[in-house]
Amino acid sequence: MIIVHVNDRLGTKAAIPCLASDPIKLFKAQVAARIGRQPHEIMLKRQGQRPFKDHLTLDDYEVSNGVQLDLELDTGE
Amino acid sequence: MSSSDRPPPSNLAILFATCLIVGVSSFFLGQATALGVFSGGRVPIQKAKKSKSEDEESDSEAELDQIFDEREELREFPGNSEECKLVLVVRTDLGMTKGKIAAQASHATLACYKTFLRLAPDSPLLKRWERYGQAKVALQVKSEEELEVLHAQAVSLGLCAQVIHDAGRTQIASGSATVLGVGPAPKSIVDKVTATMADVVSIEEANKIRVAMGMKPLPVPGLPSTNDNGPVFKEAKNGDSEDEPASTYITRQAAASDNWQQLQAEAEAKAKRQAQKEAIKKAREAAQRFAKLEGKGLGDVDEGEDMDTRTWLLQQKKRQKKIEKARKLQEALEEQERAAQAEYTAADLAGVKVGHELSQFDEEAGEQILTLKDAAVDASGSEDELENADLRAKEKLVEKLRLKKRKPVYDPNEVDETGEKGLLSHYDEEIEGKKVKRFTLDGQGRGVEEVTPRQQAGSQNSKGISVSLDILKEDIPISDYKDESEIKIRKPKKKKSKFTRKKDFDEDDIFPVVQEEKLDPSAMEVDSVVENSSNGLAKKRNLDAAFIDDDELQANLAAQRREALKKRKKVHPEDLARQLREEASAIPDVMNTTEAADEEPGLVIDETTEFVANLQRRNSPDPRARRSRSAKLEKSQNGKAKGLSPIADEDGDVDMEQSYGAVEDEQDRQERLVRSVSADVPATGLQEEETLDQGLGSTLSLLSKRGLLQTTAGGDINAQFRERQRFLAEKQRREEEAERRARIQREKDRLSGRLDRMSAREREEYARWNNTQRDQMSSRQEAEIFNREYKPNVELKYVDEFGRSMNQKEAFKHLSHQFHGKGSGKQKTEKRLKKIDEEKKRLAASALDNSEATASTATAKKNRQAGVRLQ
Repeated sequence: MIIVHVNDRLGTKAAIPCLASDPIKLFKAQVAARIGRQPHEIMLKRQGQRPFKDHLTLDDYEVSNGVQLDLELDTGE
Repeated sequence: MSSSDRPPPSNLAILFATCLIVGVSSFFLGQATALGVFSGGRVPIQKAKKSKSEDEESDSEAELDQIFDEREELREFPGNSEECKLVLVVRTDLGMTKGKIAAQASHATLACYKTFLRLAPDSPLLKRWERYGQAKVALQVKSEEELEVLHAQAVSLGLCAQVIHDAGRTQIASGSATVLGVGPAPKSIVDKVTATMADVVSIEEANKIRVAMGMKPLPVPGLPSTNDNGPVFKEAKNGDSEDEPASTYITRQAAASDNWQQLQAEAEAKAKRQAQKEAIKKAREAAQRFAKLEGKGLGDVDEGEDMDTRTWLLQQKKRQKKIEKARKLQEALEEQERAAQAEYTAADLAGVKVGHELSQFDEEAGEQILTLKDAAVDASGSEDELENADLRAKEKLVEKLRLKKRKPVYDPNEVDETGEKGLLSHYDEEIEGKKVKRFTLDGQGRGVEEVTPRQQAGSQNSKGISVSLDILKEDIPISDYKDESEIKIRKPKKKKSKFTRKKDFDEDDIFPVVQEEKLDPSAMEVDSVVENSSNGLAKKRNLDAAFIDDDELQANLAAQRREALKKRKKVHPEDLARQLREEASAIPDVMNTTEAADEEPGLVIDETTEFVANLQRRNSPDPRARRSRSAKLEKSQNGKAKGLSPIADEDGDVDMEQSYGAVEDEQDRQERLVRSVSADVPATGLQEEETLDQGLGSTLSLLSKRGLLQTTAGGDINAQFRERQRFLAEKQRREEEAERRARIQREKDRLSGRLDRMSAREREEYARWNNTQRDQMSSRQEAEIFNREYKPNVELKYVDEFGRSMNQKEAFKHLSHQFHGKGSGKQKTEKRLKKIDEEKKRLAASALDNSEATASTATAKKNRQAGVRLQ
């Protein structure tokens, strides 16, 4: 189990316990349950990198315990 | 969840109880810690030592508003055998001081402990916690909400959690939560709470979501996995993963974090242990130090002085006596020493050797300070010996000088005082060691000369008593005669002439010298200084005095040098001035003469040109010519010399008293005189120009000098010439004789009348016949003489086209060229022409040009000799 911090730098911050093997899509669902937004509106990325793709897992992006991810609004473009 | 089933206790009761409990428990805890009961030593130091004042303050004012959690269900974590710890979460946003925080943390600890005791007194967790040093970890939160969340989380996990609310009397607002205490509980479970802190949602919650999404639920920490029915031990060992350890990335990640934490903890523990060890060591050292510093310190009161005034006064007398006694003893000692020193007199020195001759200590030497001679301590047989450093140094110097001289072994002048001389006595020193002159003091201020065995033997051998005659020396009457020893007799010098000649050419002398010395008849006999001493010419002569010994010579030289120095110093300024004046008057004379020569009309040849022309090695001057020129002068000089010389009289008697050397000297001198006059080189060092007005001889000599006239074997030619002349004269005489005879014959014929009888024609015939007869005879005679005496003088002379005679080689070449019909090449021809040109030039050279020089240069050039070339 790892704890991943999600932060949009606008006041919304959450620590989400999960498994490193979770797909990004499911991780987004967890984040959505925590912050009160629809999963498809959530875009996750490492700072200064490209957004995470849904069909990959956290492990693929080498997200480990205590990592902070940037939370952005996905407009669907 | 406050208790509702009991009547709420009054504030006073609660306060009283709390104080009591805190006081007792802290006392016992403190005692136990001090005694080292808790060997783990994991007690954080900031917890153990509270500042006294803060503690008191806190204790006095802290009104504990504890919330005793009355939950019965404190989880036991039966499968967990981990180390237990208590976490204290402190709020830092209140701005509490360290002391306050410490007090509040203590409160929290106590509250937790009490709660645990009350709810689960037999819990193995508590025992484990106590056994492992009651580990406490202090954390911080920034707000009350976080604290509340943590509290709730801990409670939800079934842990003991207590929040302390301060009474707010001193620093903070009343009733504000300050510290949360969680535990004691197994480490991993407490970490679950505190690691996520307030941000972490309960895993159950997350699991709910996950399950709803159809995902695998997260493992709940501290609980056996709900949906995993695997073996328990695995779960117990690795609470958060069902996988093999380090089989996946995730487990590795987790293990890594755990490992890191463990390492951190270990390092921390190590540091703490180290600090403790050091503290113990320090304490031990301090104890040792103090153990060493036993006895009374400055601040301590001396026991001896710890007496009252009366006893001190009583003892005063005794003390004074003691001091007096010590003083007397010292005085006595000093006196003794002084007495011993005063008694030291000459008598003490009796028998002490002195390493010098007795004669060295006379009046003129004055007082000498003698010191003990340096000697090795263990030097056997050596007694104390006194010596004076100066005298010793002097002796050494003398010895060194003597060695430096390197005199030959045999010295005929040496006189042995004892009159006894051993065989090869000069090796005595090397064999027997140095003869040391020393004497022994006898205690009455006198010295007893020590005699070496050699000397003793000498004295035994010597016959009679040697009486020193030096005493008589004092009263010798002053003699009227000059002491012989004072007169210096010079050795007659053999090389006198050379010596004087050297002097003649001294630069200071301007005229060729006919010196006073020549006029002085006694110059050879006695060494008398003729010249003025300041001139410095005669000084060297003094040095040639006859000396036998080197030493004497050296001494004499030194003396003379000294004298000369003195004399030089004595030169008066007026003397010097006079000398200068004389020189000044002498120099203008020369100038005048040269000027007079220059004033003559006509061509003036500069002296410098002459000088330059003459700057050459003199090639064998013709002495005969000059001799002849100066013959007259020589004669007159001879006469003069004879007149002057007292040695050889007019009648040729020679003074027999004079030595042969002297006579020779005289002859030499005269010769030299003549030479000096004959070689009368003028002051300029140049020869005078020869003129042609002095006759044929001089002209010839001039020409020969210039190389225009070649004299080849003059004697031979003369002889030939004379022979020829004689022959011719003879021939003439014979012809005359023959003529005279013919005339007599004719006269006879005429007188006899023989001619009268003949006719004219017959007469003619007869005369003709006679004539032929005579001619025949004479010719026969001549032929005879010719055959007998004639030596043909064959001289082949070849003359080239320029009219100059060729030598043999040239002639041969010429003939060869004629024979072969071709001449030499262009270069050779040119060379020859050039040579001829040069010859012509030389012949036509000016009479005024010093052609002697040019001729010699030509020869030098021809012979390829190096010469000075000034241009």
